[in-house]
Amino acid sequence: MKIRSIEYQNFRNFEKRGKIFFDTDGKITIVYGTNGDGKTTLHQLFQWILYGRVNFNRTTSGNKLYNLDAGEKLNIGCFFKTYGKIEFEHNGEEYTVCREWCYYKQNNGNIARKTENDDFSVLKCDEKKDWRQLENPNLIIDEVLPVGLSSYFFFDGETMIADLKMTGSESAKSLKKALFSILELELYEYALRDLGTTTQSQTVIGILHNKMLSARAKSTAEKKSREILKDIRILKRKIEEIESGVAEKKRRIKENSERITELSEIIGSGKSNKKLENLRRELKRSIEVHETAIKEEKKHFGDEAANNFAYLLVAKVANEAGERLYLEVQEEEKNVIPGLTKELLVNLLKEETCLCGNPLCDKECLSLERWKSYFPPASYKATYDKFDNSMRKYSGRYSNDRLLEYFKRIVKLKATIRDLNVQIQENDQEIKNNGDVDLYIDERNRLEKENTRLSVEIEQDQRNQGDFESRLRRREKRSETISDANDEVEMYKKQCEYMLKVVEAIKDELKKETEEYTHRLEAEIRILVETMLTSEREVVLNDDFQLKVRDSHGDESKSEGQFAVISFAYIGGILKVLSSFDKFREKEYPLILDGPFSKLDSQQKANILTTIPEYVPQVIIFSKDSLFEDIKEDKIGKVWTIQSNAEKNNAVIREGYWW
Amino acid sequence: MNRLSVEEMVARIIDIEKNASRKKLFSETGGGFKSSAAKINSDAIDNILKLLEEDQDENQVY
Repeated sequence: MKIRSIEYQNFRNFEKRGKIFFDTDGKITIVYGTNGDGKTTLHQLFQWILYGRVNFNRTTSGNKLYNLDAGEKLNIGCFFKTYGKIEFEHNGEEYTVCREWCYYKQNNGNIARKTENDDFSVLKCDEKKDWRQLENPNLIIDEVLPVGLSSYFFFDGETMIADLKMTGSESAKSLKKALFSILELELYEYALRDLGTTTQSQTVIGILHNKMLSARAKSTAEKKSREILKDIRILKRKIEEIESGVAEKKRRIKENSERITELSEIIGSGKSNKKLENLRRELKRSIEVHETAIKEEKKHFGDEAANNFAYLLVAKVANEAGERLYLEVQEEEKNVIPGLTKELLVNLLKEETCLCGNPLCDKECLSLERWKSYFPPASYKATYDKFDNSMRKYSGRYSNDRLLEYFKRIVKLKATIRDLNVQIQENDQEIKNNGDVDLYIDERNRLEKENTRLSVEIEQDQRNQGDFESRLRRREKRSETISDANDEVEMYKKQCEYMLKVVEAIKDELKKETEEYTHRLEAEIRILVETMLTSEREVVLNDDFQLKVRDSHGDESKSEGQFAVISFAYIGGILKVLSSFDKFREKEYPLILDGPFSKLDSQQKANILTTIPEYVPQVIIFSKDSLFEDIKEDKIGKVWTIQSNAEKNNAVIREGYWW
Repeated sequence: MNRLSVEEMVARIIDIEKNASRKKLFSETGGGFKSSAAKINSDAIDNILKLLEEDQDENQVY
C-alpha cells in the first residue's frame, strides 16, 4: 500500500476542504507544523478514514472529531459532515477509501452524531478506469493494512511506546492477528476452522461424520442403535447451537465494549468529569478484581468438592449410620442392670446354675444370653466404637463446613461488588449533574448491564455445552460398538480418519512456520536494534510475536527513547522478513510518523533517518523541527506546512516550506 | 484410500483457502460477482469436500 493523497473537511481543526499529495517513489514526504498546529490531528485523520476510530493521546485535547467552528455556526436541527478520503495504490491497482460522519445540532445547542447517516466506502479502479464500490470495505482495509498493525505503521511517538510495552493482552492478540494475516499464517487457521471437528456439522469433518452416521443408521436394523444415533445428532445440534450462540454473544460483548470505550472517552472529555471518570474506571477495575476472585473461589470449591467427593459421601453415610447406632446404644444402656458384669454372666451360663444354687431353666439362660450381648464384642456400643474409629480413619472426618466457607466468601465478595456498583451509580449521577452527558451515561449503563447479562449467559451455556459433550462422548462410544460391516460406513470412517490426520499436519505446519517467522523476525529486529540503538540490548521474540528487549542484567528497557527505537526496529523487522520471501514481495506498507524524534538523542535520530528509507517503501514524517540537515536532499520529496490561526483551532495546509 | 499424501492434501487445502481469501478481498458489487463472507467460507468447505471425493481411489474396495 502506498498512499497517494489525503483529503479532508471539518475534521477537528481543518474546517476547509483540503487535499495533500504524497510521494510514492521512495522519497520522504515531510509535513511541518509547530506545536498545536494539527500534526497529530492530521496523523489521526489517516486512522479515522481507514478504521473509523482515533487513538487520543495525552497531547490531544478533547475528542470531538468535528470542527468546532463549523459546529458553532450550525443552526439548530441542521446537519454537517466530517469528511475524509484517502487515495492509495496496492499491488499496482488504485483504490479510494472515503469516510463521512454526520453531526446535527440539537435543540439545546449541543452537537450530536447521527450514525445512521454515516458513510464508509472503498472503491477500486478497474481496467476500464471505472470506479467500482467494493463489498466488505472493513475487510479490505484489514487485508491491505491490518488494524492490529496500524499503530505500528501510523507511528505516533507516545501511543506507540505504550503499545510496544505490550502489557495488555488485547494489544498482544491484535498484533498476533495482524502478523498472522501479513504472514499468511491465517490461511492455516482458516483451514483448521473449515476442516473443523466431528461435532461441528457445518465443517468438512462434521459433514463426513454425519454422513457416516447416516450410513450407519441405514445399515443397522436394531432399534437401540437407531436411538443412539438419533441422540448423537440431537446432541451435536445442541452443542453447535450453543457454540454459535456463545460466539454471537461474545461478538456483542466486544461491540458493546468498544462503544463503552468510545462513550467513556466522550464523557471523560470535560475537565470536570475527568476525575470522576478516572474514579469510575478504578471502581470498575475493582469490580473486575472481585469478580475474578469469585471465579477463583468457585473453581476452588469445584476442585475441593471433586477431590473430596468420596470423603463427602462416606462422611455423610457415616454420620447417618453413627446417629442410628448411637440411638441403639442409648436403648441398650437402659436394659443393662447396674453392677452386672460380662464375667458374671459368662460364668452363670457356663455353670448353668443361679447364684442361689438352683439350676437355670432355658428361659433364664436366654435372658442371660441377651444381657451378655449388651457387652462387647457383640454390643451396639462396641460396634459403634469400632465404626467410629474406622470412619475417623477412612473418611478423614471430612466436614462440609469447609465447602460452606467458599459460599460465605463468595457472598461477601458479591456484597462488595454491590457496594461498588452503588458507588458507580452515585458517581454517574454526579457526572450527569455536570450536564450534557445524560444520554451517553444511560447508553453506557445499558451496555454494561447487557454485557454482564451476556457473560452470565455464556457461563451457563458453557456449562450446558460441557454436559452435552460428555453425554455425546458416551453415546459415541456405545455407537462405535455397533457393527461397521458396511462399505459406505467404512469409507466415511476412513475419510474422517484421513482428514483428522490432515488437521494434525496443518497444526504442525502452522507451528513450524510460526517458529520460522519468529526466528527470522527476531534476527532482523536484533540487527536493526544494534544498528539504531546506541546501547547494547538482548532481543527476544516469543511465539505470540511479543518482543522483550533486555539489558545485560535482564532488565527490560524503560527509556521512552529506547522504546521508540525498538518500535522502528520492529516495523523494520517485519518489512525485512516480508521482502526476504518471494511470496510476500507484493506486500508493502507505508510508515507515517508523527513527532517520533523528540524522545531520541541526536545519534539515535541520525541512525533512524538513515536506516528507515532503506526498508520502508513510503515514509511520511510530521515534524516541528527542520529535517533538511538530517535527510539527504535527494531523499526529500514533497514538503507541506500546516498554518494555523492565532487560536490554533483552524488550520490549512500549504505545499512548501513556509517557515 | 486417498491418492494424495497428507502433505499434498494440506498444500491443496491451503490453496483453496488462499483463493477464498482473495475472493473475499476482491468480491465486488455492481457488475462483478457478489458473494458474502459466509458464502465464500461455505464454498471453501464444498471445494475441500469435492477435492476429497475426487481423490478417492475408485478401485478401492472397503
